[in-house]
Amino acid sequence: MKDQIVPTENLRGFAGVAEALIAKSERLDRLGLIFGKWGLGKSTSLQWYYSNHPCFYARALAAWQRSPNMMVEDLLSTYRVEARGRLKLDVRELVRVVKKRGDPLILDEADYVIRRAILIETIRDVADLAHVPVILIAGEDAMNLLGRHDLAHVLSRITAKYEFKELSVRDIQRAAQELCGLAVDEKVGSFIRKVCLGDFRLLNAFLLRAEELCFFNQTSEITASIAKTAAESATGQAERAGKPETAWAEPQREALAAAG
Amino acid sequence: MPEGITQKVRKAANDLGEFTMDRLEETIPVKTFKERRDAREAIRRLIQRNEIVPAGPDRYRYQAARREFSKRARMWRAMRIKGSFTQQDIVRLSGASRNHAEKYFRSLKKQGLVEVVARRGYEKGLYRLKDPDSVPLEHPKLIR
Repeated sequence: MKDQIVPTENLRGFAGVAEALIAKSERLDRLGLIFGKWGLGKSTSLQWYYSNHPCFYARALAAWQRSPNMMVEDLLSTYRVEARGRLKLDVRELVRVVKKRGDPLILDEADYVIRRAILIETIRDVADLAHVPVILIAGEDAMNLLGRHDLAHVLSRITAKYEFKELSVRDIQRAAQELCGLAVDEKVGSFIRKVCLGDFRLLNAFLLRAEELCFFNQTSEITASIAKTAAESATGQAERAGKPETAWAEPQREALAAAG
Repeated sequence: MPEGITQKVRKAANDLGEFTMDRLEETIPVKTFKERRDAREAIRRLIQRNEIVPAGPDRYRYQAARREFSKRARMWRAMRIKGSFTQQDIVRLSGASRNHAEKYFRSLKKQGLVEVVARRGYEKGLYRLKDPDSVPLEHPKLIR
């Protein structure tokens, strides 16, 4: 299996939000939101984007909710600027340094920021005053949290958003082709999607096994029988990973039973 | 630092979004004929660099120049965002080759920026940045 990142729809959606915000005029609001369930590749997409594109990254901490000072100090340290310890001066300094650098700022685990009005308002101030795109990455509840009455003005400033979804059949076909050089037809693709629950980690485990089986059978296509054998191995991996049974086991077993 | 004429043109083009050349020339804040001439020269340069691109008949738009990172810079950024990582993680994120990654890892270890946490090898050798909060933003040079 090749060591490379597959450009899935989610990855392209992530990059699309960033590019759309960068392309917008400085006079417009440039606040973005990327949200979705855990395990859909938000962090991997972020890591890939950060590695290959000019931007700054900070990870929000639960402790930030206790005081905005901590958030501003951490953001300043992202830019290698030492905080002075006084909020007003530090916010001004943050705006100055963000504006000077000019690259987008990405905030991971932004749920912690969205939950406290003072934190999200400070981020909004930074985005407004520095005229730099700010992208928030949060869990699936982000839109509900931002839908609060007192945050309506923040929600209206979010001009680009993308929700991470489970892998599509097309993503699975692309991953199999690009990582292993194996073809997958539509029917087998939808079976793999069901077994892997649209989760990239499970798909990786599946593809590792499928690649071995295809090599032994001297074929360059994942057939239904190869998919079934490889799926049993991938399901075992899921069980070992200790995911809650109700979340994954039933659809996988149904898919395996349907495949005979 | 005073704003150069190219910077003024960039800013005006970015603010306008889509524009005609006449509209752009009107918008650039210039005071003298020399500045007007320089502005036209700057517009020509930006068109050559593909920062100002056609967007329909007689219309143009501004697109910010893309900064491309070198493979080494990509590897360094991947290490900074991951904190602890294997060589395989870095190759996957940066698109660098295995050989290149191995050389760079060796150099960073020599410089004392990266340390081995556990095991060895491409897939299982786990590394981490020695002091993630103070490592330089720019990628360190390769030392042989």
